[in-house]
Amino acid sequence: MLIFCTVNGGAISGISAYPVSVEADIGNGLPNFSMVGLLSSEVKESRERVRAAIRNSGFSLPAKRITINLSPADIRKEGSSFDLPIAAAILISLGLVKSKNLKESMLVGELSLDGTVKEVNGILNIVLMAKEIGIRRIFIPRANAEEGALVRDIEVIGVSSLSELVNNLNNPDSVSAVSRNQTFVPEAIKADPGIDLKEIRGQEVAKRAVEIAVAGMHNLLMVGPPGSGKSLIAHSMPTIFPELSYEEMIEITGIYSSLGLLGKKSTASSHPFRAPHHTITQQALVGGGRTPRAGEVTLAHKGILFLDELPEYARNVLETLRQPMEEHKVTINREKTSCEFPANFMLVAAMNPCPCGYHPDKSRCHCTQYAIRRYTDKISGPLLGRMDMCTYMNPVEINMLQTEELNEASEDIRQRIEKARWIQKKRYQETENVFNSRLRPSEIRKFCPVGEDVQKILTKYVKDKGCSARGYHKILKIARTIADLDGEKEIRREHIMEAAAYRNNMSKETGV
Amino acid sequence: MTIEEYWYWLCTAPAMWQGKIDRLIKKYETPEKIFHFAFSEIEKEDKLSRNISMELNKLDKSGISFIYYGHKLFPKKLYDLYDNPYCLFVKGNLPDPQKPLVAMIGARDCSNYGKEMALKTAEKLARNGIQVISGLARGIDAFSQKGAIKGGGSVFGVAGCGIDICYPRENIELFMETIRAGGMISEYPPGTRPAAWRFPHRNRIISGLSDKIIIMEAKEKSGSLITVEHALEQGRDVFAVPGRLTDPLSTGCNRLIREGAQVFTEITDLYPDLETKKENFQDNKRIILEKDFEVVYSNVDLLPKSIGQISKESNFTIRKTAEILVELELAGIIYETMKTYFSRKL
Repeated sequence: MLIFCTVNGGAISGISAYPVSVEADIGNGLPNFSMVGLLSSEVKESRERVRAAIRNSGFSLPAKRITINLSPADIRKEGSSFDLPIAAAILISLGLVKSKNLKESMLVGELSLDGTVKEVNGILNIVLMAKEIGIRRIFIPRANAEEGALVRDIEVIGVSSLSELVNNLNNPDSVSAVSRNQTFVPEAIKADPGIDLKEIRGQEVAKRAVEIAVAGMHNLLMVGPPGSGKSLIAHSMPTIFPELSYEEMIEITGIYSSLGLLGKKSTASSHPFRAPHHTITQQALVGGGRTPRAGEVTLAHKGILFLDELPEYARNVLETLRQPMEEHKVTINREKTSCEFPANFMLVAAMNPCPCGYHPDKSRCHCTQYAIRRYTDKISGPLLGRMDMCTYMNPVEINMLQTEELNEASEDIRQRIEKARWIQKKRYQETENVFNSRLRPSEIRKFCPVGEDVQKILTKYVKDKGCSARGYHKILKIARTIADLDGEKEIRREHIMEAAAYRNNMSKETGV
Repeated sequence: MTIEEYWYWLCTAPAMWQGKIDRLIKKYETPEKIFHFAFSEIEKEDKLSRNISMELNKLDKSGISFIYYGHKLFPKKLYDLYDNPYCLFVKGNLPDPQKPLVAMIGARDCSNYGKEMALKTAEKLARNGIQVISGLARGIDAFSQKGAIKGGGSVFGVAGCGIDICYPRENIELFMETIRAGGMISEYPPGTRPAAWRFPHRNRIISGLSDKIIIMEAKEKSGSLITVEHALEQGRDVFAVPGRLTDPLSTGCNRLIREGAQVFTEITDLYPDLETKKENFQDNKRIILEKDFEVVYSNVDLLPKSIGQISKESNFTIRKTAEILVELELAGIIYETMKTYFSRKL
């Protein structure tokens, strides 16, 4: 009995998933196995894998004309997730597998020659997509089952071989979905500890700046000589980030899974911290390629993008950061496709004040004013203007390092930040924005009210300092975050004052 | 041709330099004779091809006056120099010989202390009717001229390149202000590019024009010390601003003091009979502060300090210190030298 059949499959393009229906037709004619539907070479090779896998699973392919079509036919198919649906479609067409409930099922997986089902990238996004288009059951590789099961309200079935799949399809009642505790437990996937802030001696100013920056997702610039602890402080920042919420975890896991970066883990466990080396190219930073691939800014989504030695990055690379920093997403257009990647990250940058690094310590720095200027000029004004906060760091004296006295632990700071984040979330629940740093000028008036006398002092400060409108808004946004850390409703004078102390004004100064 | 034209021709002849003019003058006595008789030393084409009077006219139109050796405006003091310049190109005015003139010199990459001292000293001098002269370089030179302009006095700059070129370029505003408040002077013909050797060379004019010179800040090996040598040869009084022994930017000054330079502590050191209010450089706080503010203020120094250090010394939290520092900044008695670092204002 030869029938025509359609099976649902799915694949990843960029980081988003799209459905593909796999059609199989077996008929009379010269024995042949052909596949159509704008396929890339790895999908074309699928033919050989499927043929061997079917034979090695104990079935035999008849000498018939087999045609496989992957539709929609105008999207270029890439990836290895089509092996399983193709094999299933052939077996159903041959009548070896019952074709019940096919409309409500989806299959995703790569086959090895012996019929084993191997893991594929981007399972989470495919399962999410499947749920959205109304699929009720999805068969995925066993190795990906944990990740797929993160999605609620869809039956996720992990299979380890083609014969197991056939078995499952033939006896649907005996199958049990991967049981995962459907309530998400954050404790179970606690982040790797990282460097606790209590282990860092001194640098209290930088620590306070980091606390404010993380609480409101303000971009932070750290300037200081080599060895002053800029990188150390940056690397400790993940420890004060709040725990991932379920939604955030799903979003981050989706991105990492699509790019095959999850490794052995089934989920992302913490806010990402990305520190690309300064030789990075534009494409690697914001994403790109013939078929667009997400870059570091997307990998840093909901987390930190740390650029150490900022002036060492190629200028054109840094310039590409401007759009994602403004819009919190990256749009990449190519001839056939246009991809949009999320990029809602917090930029933390570190740099030396001059080429030798020791300015303004004249006993060690011999850089001329011109050299210093040329060094800081490597970073364009618009990019500097987007850095909200700035702090200058000096090396800690040796006796500070030797004291036994412990500083405030990351855990305590994190609790304050969590509280401030919660206040922000509640305040902005009607807008799409979640953080103070993301406030638009029109919203600042509404959400950052200041008393009359405070307004007066702020006006004086802005006038004295010659701040731009952007600078004025920056102070207000940072002050809002400080007030939130204090749990205060209204922005008071001291909040404005502290905000002004950390406000980044490097863009207009000559040199540092 | 007039004497002025002869001098102009001689000073702007191609490949002309101080030593060559010296030799020619020694041999032929006047530029007129050089023009007519010095055949072997100067190429003939140059004399015939140039239209000197038109060039002088052009110079005049762009507001540059040409003052030659022997001109009635040529500063008397410069005749005494053993390597005196033969001409000066001036935009604005020359210093008034009736009034005292002080040269202020020092390091280009000066410290905050040097900057504050230069600004304040120059301002005080200017307020007391003393003219200030410097070299329009970065650092101390620029701050001295700025301070004098702020004090509303006459200020002069001696450039190490053609008078129509502003070097360093970022000082263009100061360059224009100096011309308005006094004048820019150069011995090099317009269009001369800045070259490293011309700067120490022009220093002899700075010291030559002045009565006294103050050296604000200098490292062990500093170009300013060349000016000091010129000044000593020319018999000018040399004053040095003392600094901390640990400060590399004060080693030059302190060494000068050890070698016999006078210590500069206030402007009456320069002119004892100056009738000015006795005020020193130490405290300029005009308002009485609250207690906490006072504690923080007392820990702010002329050397920039970080918020962290000030907070440790005044025993307040980082938050409180930061808030008070910004308040003090707003009150105008301290300022932020770079992010999160503060310094006193003199």
